Amino acid sequence: MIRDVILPQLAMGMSEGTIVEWAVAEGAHVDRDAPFASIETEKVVNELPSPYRGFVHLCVEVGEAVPVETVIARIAETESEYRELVGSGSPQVAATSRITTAEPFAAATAAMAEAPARPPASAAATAEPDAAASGMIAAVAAPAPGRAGRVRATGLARRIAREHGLDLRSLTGSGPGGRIVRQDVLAALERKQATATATAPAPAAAPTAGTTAAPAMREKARVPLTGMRKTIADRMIRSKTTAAHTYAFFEVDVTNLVRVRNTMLDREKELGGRISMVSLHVKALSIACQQVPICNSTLTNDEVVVWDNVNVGIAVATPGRTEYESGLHVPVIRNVERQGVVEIDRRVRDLTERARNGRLSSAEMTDGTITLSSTAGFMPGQWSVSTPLINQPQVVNFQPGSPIQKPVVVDGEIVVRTMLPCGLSCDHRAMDGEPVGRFIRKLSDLLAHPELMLL
Amino acid sequence: MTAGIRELTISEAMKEALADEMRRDDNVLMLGISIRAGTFPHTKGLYDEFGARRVLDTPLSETGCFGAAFGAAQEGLRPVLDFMYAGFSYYAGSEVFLQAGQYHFLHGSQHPVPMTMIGTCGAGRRVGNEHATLPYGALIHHPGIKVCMPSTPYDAKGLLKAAIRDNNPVFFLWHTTMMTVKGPVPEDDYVVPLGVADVKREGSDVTVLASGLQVHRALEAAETLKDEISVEVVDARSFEPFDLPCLLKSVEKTTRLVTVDEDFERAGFAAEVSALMMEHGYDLLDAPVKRVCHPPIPVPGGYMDAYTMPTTERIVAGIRDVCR
Repeated sequence: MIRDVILPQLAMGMSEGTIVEWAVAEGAHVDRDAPFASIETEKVVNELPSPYRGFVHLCVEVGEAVPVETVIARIAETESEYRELVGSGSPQVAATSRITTAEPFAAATAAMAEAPARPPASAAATAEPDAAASGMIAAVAAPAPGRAGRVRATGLARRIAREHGLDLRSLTGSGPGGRIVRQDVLAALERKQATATATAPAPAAAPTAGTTAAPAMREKARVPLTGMRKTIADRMIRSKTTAAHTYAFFEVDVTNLVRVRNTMLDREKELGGRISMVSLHVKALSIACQQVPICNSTLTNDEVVVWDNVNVGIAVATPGRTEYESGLHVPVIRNVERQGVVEIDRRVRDLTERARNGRLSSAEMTDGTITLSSTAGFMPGQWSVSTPLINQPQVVNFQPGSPIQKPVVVDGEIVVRTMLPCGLSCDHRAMDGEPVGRFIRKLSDLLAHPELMLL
Repeated sequence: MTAGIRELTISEAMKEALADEMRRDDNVLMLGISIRAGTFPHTKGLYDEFGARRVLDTPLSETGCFGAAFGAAQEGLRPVLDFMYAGFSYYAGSEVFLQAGQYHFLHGSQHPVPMTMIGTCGAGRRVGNEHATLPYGALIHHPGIKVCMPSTPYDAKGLLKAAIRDNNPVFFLWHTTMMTVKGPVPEDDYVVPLGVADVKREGSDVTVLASGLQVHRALEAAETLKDEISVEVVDARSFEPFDLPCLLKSVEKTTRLVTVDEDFERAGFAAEVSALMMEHGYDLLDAPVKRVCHPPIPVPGGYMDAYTMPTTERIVAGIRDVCR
């Protein structure tokens, strides 16, 4: 048997000691309790008697300070054990102060010399994945705490949401401090089942760094079609393939509207905020809908339901978690026909902000009767019209672009006016061209002559 | 009243347990301060029945009488050490908090310590800080000691029997203001096991965990709120071992918890329950746990203690708070 001799703690507070002298030679036989070593600690020299009987292999140099409990020597019971111990290649430590590398240390340095292999080369053929993207994506792989920060929810609410794949970020809490409680989650699940509209999606799986690709192609990222992306994809393709999309493009002279808005901006303080163009569009839409109600209807189960109240959905582009993702939410302002522009504006601002922070509830995204999806934010100052996809079960989607100044003929003269290029899609299953034309005329009239909105 | 069940006070129930156990097992003896005289009613008359060898008055030295009881336990006897006031056990701090619980472990399970310590505790009798001490928060912190406190005469008799029969050191606490509280107690030999809680009132909106006097305060609070909030009252009965499964089962039903603890708020039993709920019951809770305790100030003297200890009103407020 081979036993270790450790440096004992000879005093409270002693953390290391130095062998000032070995009383035995390397390989010598020592009896138990015979003088073994002189150990100095804090200017006091202590004699250490041998704890065991046997053949000694010294492990520490004279003069070397070692921590308490270091193995300073090993004692082999038999000579053959001793020979085996030292025969394994460990250089002998002289009982004097000649420095040679002790075996344990040699082993350690040898291990360090075999440097760990370089990380396996990425399977991607050429350049490494974009470092910034992979860093961002790696961070996203961890559970996201919510874009605006922490989601406040009770443990029980979280568990129920988790079990049903419900994203807590889409809920508003009714508990203290806006905390989401069990009741909020249960209500959301009920609504999810009751309505056909998009539910709060589960967080999308993180896009991963580029992996295997064909030799000439270099991937920047992979974005799986899950969660919100999948929901949007499904709804878009369903709308595209089931609604009879018919598009109309037109320009509206909004010079007067801009002036009206500026008047409102001058009264920013009294009105409680900067009234947005979108709010004015929403107001105009609601009046036009009351004048041409077929454009304010929904088509489900072979039935067109014409609605009395005008609930305008505002398409809001929401930031994605990475540069390759984006989102789309359509919060609904209900009963616009009863609201003035100031109230509409307040709601637009609130819904837009909460949409961007992922704090809309499912209830706020249902029961829309018409959608407004402005592209002014994407391409400001550029003439552009586009073909919005109908937000089913609605039948009209109005898409104004960015207002720009253009030369226009007015009373036989070329003048500079601010023109708003617009696109509008309608579902030809529910209506024909004539009502749409009427709708566009009414809408244009209201936008061109905002005073008509007073009526 | 059914045959065999009588209305006894907590003190009478305790005395019955002590007398029963001493008759049952010759190794059971009582030591303590002023027990022959029966200063507290639970020891009255025991000396007459069992004599000087079984009922010993000790000098006013907690370390001394602990030592005697501890030694007796090591010799195979089952001593019941009566500190009179549980707070006095602090004079034998090392003995109670370290030696009692650790001895068995330190000696490789060779020396069990089957001793029972009893003492009264609790505020509300205007006895001031040294006589009101509830030591269970400190006791459960030290490994190896079991601790219990009844809230009814039935539980008092059953728990004290269980404590005496247990081979571990057990501190049996009883509330000073509840000496004369009456309740039904069966004649026969029954045990209320340590480590088992009891649902004293069923409810569905919130769980209130309490012990001793506070069980009754909690029941009053539940009655006050009965048309508004359905309150379930759980009597812990034992602090160590604590019946966590019973509590979790209750919170699973109600999703809310208020712990009432007459001891000081800091790092006491209520704090321990809060930590256990986070570790084992996070997914059950629909609101943060709440504790209603004695604030971290000394128990005031005289009539002031009514203003610091938990009351029915404070419990009602606590319940309303978690039900927001």
